[in-house]
Amino acid sequence: MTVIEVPPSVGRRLAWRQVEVVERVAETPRATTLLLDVPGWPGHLAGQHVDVRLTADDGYQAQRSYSIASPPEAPRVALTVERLEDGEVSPWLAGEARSGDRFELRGPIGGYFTWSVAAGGPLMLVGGGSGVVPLMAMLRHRAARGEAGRAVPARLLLSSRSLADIIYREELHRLGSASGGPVIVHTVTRERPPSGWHGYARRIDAPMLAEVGFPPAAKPEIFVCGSTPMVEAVAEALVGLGHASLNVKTERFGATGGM
Amino acid sequence: MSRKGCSTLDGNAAGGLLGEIFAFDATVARTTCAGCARIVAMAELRVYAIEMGAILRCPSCDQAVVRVARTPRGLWLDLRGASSVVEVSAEAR
Repeated sequence: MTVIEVPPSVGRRLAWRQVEVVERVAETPRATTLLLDVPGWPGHLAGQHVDVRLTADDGYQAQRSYSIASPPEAPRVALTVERLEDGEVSPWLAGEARSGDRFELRGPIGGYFTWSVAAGGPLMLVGGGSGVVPLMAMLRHRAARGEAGRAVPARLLLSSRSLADIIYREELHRLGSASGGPVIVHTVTRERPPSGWHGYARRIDAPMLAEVGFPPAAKPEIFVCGSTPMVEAVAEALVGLGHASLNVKTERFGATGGM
Repeated sequence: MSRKGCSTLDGNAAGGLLGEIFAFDATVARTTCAGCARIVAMAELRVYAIEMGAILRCPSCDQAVVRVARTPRGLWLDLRGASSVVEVSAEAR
């Protein structure tokens, strides 16, 4: 038997919860962080995501997945949402949702794209745009774990369209400047950076990954999150550099129908 | 439940939907493609969101490995494209 039918009442262990927006933080012109009150949140691992469901007055429902930005140690669940111009969910979350507003959420979801200090490293993170969100949860988790976190070498290579589009820019700078902090390297792809810019100004490619990343012999745990073309190009380049594909975990995001 | 067309993501995004079906975390389950025998975590399959469901395809040969649809009677699951799906426990990851 390879085809089964599951009655609607069975197997719904991951319940939808009503959550409330506690605070909103503007990250960039297009990205907003929502701090949420989630009654009964069971805890999560850095890198996991949630499904968000909005219901219109006429009953039409739209559903999307969003990465959790907060580390397991944080008191509130945080989502950072980038507004997609023709999106069905992100314009409301990123632009309209205010403190006190409520919506439905289920999670945490997914054990594949996750990391914890206990898993060790070195930790190599490669992000594109809002693909930094689950990677930020990992870096925040690493920082929250103090000495045990600092014992894991970590590097982040983050590609953004422009300086103004870099999500968490100040916090990344603070993390990177701290003793034992991660190495943070930026590249911008659609803007000529100002003089004195220490980052790159092109799409992520194999030479950049070789310069910024750990050598394959160090057997780093690698996490790549971004748009589908970005993730495929980076994953291919990493394997080409000699990294084992088993150590390269990927997560693609983009506009899609809810599932 | 999109009113829009298809778009390629990966099995991570289908985790919530798969969680309605499997008792274990299917996104980390080792899934063998019935077409080319490649073994990947379900998270690594390519996901095409369709109206009321998803098709998860093999990254190597494009075989439809997992197909899920919401029907008025409940969820419909077709695993003909997978020759096996093996749970990976949290300790074994």
